[in-house]
Amino acid sequence: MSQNLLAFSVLAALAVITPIAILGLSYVAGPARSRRVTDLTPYECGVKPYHSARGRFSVKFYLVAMLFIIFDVEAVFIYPWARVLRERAGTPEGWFLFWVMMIFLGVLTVGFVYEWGRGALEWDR
Amino acid sequence: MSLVAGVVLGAISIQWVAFLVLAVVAIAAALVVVLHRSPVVGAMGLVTNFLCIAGIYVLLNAYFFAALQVIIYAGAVVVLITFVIMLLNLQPEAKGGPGVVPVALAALLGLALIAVVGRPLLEYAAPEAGPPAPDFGTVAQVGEALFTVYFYPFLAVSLALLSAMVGAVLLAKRRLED
Amino acid sequence: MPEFQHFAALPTLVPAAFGLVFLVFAPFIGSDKKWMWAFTTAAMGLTILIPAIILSKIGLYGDVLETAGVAGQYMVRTDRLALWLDILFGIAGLLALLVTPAYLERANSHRPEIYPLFLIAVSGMTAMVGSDHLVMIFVGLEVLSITLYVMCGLARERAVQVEAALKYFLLGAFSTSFLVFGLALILGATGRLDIPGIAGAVLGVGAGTLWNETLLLAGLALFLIAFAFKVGAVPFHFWVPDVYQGAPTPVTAFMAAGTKAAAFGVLLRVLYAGFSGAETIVDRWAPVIAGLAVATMVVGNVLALVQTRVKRLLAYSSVAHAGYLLLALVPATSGAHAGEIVGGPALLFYLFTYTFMTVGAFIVAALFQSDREDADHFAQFAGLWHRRPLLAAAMGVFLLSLTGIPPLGGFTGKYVIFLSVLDAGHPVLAAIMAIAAVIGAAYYLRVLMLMFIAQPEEDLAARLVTPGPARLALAVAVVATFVLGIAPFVLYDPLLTVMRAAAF
Repeated sequence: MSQNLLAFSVLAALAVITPIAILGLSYVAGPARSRRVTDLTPYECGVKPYHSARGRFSVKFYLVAMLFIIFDVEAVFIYPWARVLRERAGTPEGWFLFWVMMIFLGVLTVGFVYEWGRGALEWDR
Repeated sequence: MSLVAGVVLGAISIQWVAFLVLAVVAIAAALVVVLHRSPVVGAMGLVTNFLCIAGIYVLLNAYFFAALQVIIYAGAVVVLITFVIMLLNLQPEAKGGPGVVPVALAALLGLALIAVVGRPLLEYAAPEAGPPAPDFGTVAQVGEALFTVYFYPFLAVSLALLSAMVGAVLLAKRRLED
Repeated sequence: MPEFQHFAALPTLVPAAFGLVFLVFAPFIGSDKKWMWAFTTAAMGLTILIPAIILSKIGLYGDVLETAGVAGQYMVRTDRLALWLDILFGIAGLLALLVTPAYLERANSHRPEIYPLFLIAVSGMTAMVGSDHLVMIFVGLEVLSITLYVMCGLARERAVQVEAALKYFLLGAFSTSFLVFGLALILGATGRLDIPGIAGAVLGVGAGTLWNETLLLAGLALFLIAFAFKVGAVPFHFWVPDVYQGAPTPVTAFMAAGTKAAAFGVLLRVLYAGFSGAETIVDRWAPVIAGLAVATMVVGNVLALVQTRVKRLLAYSSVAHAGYLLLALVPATSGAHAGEIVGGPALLFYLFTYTFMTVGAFIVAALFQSDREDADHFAQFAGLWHRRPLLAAAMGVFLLSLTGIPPLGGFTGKYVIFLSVLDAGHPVLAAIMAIAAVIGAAYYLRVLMLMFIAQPEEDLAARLVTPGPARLALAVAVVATFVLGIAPFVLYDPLLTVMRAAAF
């Protein structure tokens, strides 16, 4: 347990240090640039050459993300199933486990066929 | 200083310190989610909170759930939430918001809930549990429970996912081919 | 391998399987295809038939918790309580389905998905009541709730429907978080999530051990909050009028009857089989239920007085009825049955009568659907008697029954609840119930007067069409309302023996 925790702590520390190091190094070692706003903007009169980075997203992305999450959850269940099934392959219990997952996947396949039929997998123009 | 000394002397276990750090950060992150005016900062607070919870799962030996917490919640769900923020083009909340009275009332009720739930937890005489079984929290053990004892709810979950899928298509698909 | 008695799961599996099959076809068929509706109606009939057959096999009379079959470790437990409620869900679904095509046509909303979703919602309900395990109850509730959120927002072109779906979804998700937190605390307090295990912990027998009573009560309180939301009890009723108003009317009818029955079924099972017995525990939750019931009855009836739309009026009436039903859950505090929920049979009986009268009233409201926003405004109902006497008579029967006028089912239902509350030794609560019912009479009578005495403002007859299936549904609901009023014993006697013979 404590060994696992040590490995985890090392990993966590690395995860924190790496981005700080990358950002810090580029700050220290990168070429010095003027920090004045007028030096950084292209010459353009009248029109502001930039606007808020927060454009409005289309709902299409949301639909894709939503469908992704559902299949993500499905995929997550397959891993422990495969792990358990391996020990019991061939036994009646193994077949039971097999069919439980097949029903689960079958239900979600119904959803997949439905999405296909409704055109949810196509990108709206 | 005494905390460090305790750890060095072995009086305080490293797990306890880790739990303390994770719990404090988790609560702080949760407060950021609720209180910060910018929705994007709120979403980042949510990620921090989820990661801390994953850390607490690790301390409880529930490794598989820690992984799930990171993959599904800190990963997929927060991506979805960020999408919604961008979809709605949410701006930082304007000043003002709910008045003092509703906020105070909500805070009071929340504290009351914490008091009601927290008090018995303080006096909670947990059953003397030995060390967890060697396979506790492993993928195999989770799979064992999920596909034998809980296989029926597991199958019912697929129906809930299916309904959610239909709902996502019906409500978010821009052009439905009738 | 888990013990699996196949037929025990049939009431859940059959609607789920048919729902899946029809859902595959839904995107590929045109909007005006009648066969999807016909097959769904047939499948819904089957979901009434199967629990009825199982019930007749194990006998109508006997212990409510006597199981026909158990599958898994209490995950599926098909006992008499579950079977009776399964029949009720099927009836509510069938009646709502009969009017659905007519409604969709008038609302100009064509989404064949509504049919499979009806079946999936019913399977969620049967999964909920047919289980002795809180995990399964939770998952069943989620299947039901998610399906209903989708059904509410089916015609997303209409702003009111999207508003209804969004409100229902947000508040529903909020209440679910209370439920999950409550289940976690109950698990922490007893180490069990199966109802027999919790009951053992509460009574101090069997395998369960009660580690901490306060934690258990806090968990139960959060559980009750979640279910008070689902049944629309005051002060968790704010979503009810908006959602009932905005949702497609057949879905509203199904929701009002089915969801309420499912939630009360779970409340009855959990409180009756899990948390009764030990008087120290009962004494803690009984006043909560009583308080909720009183607030719900009074507030629901008073707010209904000021409504001007029929669907909203029926929504507030549904809140008020949740109050009467909660009252039946208040256990006896003294006497021979101390600590027992003596109102159990009255609760189940009232759920049946409520299903027929409220679904009937919503079916009439569904027929008024048109493209106009004020389709269910009171003015539309003025002078219905002069134009469509049969329809007006049917609506009259439902409203009088909701009021509680003999010899209709609503009267006998209220009467048995009233008696059981007196039986439980709560004369004050019974008196409040009577007063609330009298207040309620005022608003039902307002609609009745409008229908029967006022003159029609517009030519109703031209707009109203009542297709055959809707007529059949109305006829069934009217006849059932009369039968349950005149001969209540056909249903009440089995229910009474069912609850009285119980082991707890």
